[in-house]
Order: sequence, then structure tokens, then C-alpha cells
Amino acid sequence: MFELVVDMDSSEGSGKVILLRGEIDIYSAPDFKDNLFQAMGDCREDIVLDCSELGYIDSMGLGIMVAALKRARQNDRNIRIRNPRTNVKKLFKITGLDKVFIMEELK
Amino acid sequence: MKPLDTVSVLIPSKAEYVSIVRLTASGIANRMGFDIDEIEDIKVSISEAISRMIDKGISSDSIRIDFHLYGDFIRIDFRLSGSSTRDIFESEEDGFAFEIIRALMDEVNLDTDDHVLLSMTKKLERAV
Repeated sequence: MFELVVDMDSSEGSGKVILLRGEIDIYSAPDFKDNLFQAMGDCREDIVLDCSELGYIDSMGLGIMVAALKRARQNDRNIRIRNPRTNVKKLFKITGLDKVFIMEELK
Repeated sequence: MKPLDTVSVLIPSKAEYVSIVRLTASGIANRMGFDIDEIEDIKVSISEAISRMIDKGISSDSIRIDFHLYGDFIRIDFRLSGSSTRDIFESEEDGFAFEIIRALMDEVNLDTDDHVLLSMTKKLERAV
């Protein structure tokens, strides 16, 4: 099961916070892509992907994040990956994407 | 070398069944004594492999996954029914998946013998 929630309370200027919940795999990837791109809108601010409740992601999910990052950068915006779990962080490291995205740990 | 036990799973070549194989793998690896991190490695690798096969539509019918349990390692073989073998990691994008599998598993072999498209091994590192 996968769910994407846009945090409407995220403060102005600090980026739009999008909470990812559940598992992103080949089954939920199309859903993730549609919802993420819709939530990004016209990229007027930075995007924060809150991964604290993301239990699983595969290469397809990572590919979608890269596509989203390209789109954000075309608008001089960035995507930050917030609080990924150890297993998710490991995949960012293996693929070198931890150097491409801004990784942040917030308490 | 003959495995102590073999568990086989046959799934339709559809995205919604990948998570079921992940759960099965998790149960088997846990029973063998792999730790949480290693179980996660196995789950991710299996998932990546099956996703590539489904994404490419190279199996029109089903995918068979054989879990061969040995004393100190597990070997997982992937077989396809009703299709000729093809390289499942041919495109640049697939390289991502292959990179992940190679990093997480101890041994990865492509196209090993008749109908085994991919074979991967993970060793059991027992605490001394």
C-alpha cells in the first residue's frame, strides 16, 4: 500500500512538504509518479520529500524521484529527502543518489 | 551441491504479485537466520529482478522463483515460462537495478543454464 500526503501546514518559504507513506514498487510507482508531479504543481518552491514513513522503495521509485528533481531544477528549485529510514538511505547510497539529492535529518 | 530444501513460488507476470514474493522471501530468510538488514537486502534484490522481468514483458505467462536453502547460504533462481531468454538489464535505466542487486547480494549470475534467467546468492554470516 502506498499513500502520498501534501502537508498543507508547511510554512511558507521552507518548501512544500510531501509525506510518503508505505511502499513504492513496480505496482505503486505509476500512482506515485502521478501524485508527486501533481503535488509539485508548477514548482514555485522547493520540495521536501518526508520519507520517515516510507518503508520500501525500488529503482523505479528512485527513477521517478530523479525525474522530479530534473523538473524542479528546470525551475531553479530543489528536492530535499527528509528522514529516510536506514534501508531507504542505503539505496540512495548504493546508487549515488545521496550525492545528487539534498539529504536531511530533522528531529 | 544439492540444497537442503527448496521452496518454489509461481506468480503471474503482474506487478501486484511482487510484494507477495517479497513477503515469502522475508519469511524464508528469517527462518534461515539472516538478520534484519540481510533480509532487507534479499527482499530488495528479488523485487528489482522480478520488476525488470515484468516491466519488459518478457514473460507472457508466469515467473517461477526457486529458493534453494543450503546450510550457510541461499540461492534464488528465476525462471520464465513460455519465453526465450533475453537480457533483463539491457537499458541504461535497468543498470540502476543491476547495480543495486550486485551491491546487496554476494553472487549474481545471468543466464546460467536452460531457462534460468538469473541466479543470485546470499551468504549467511553467522555471529561467532
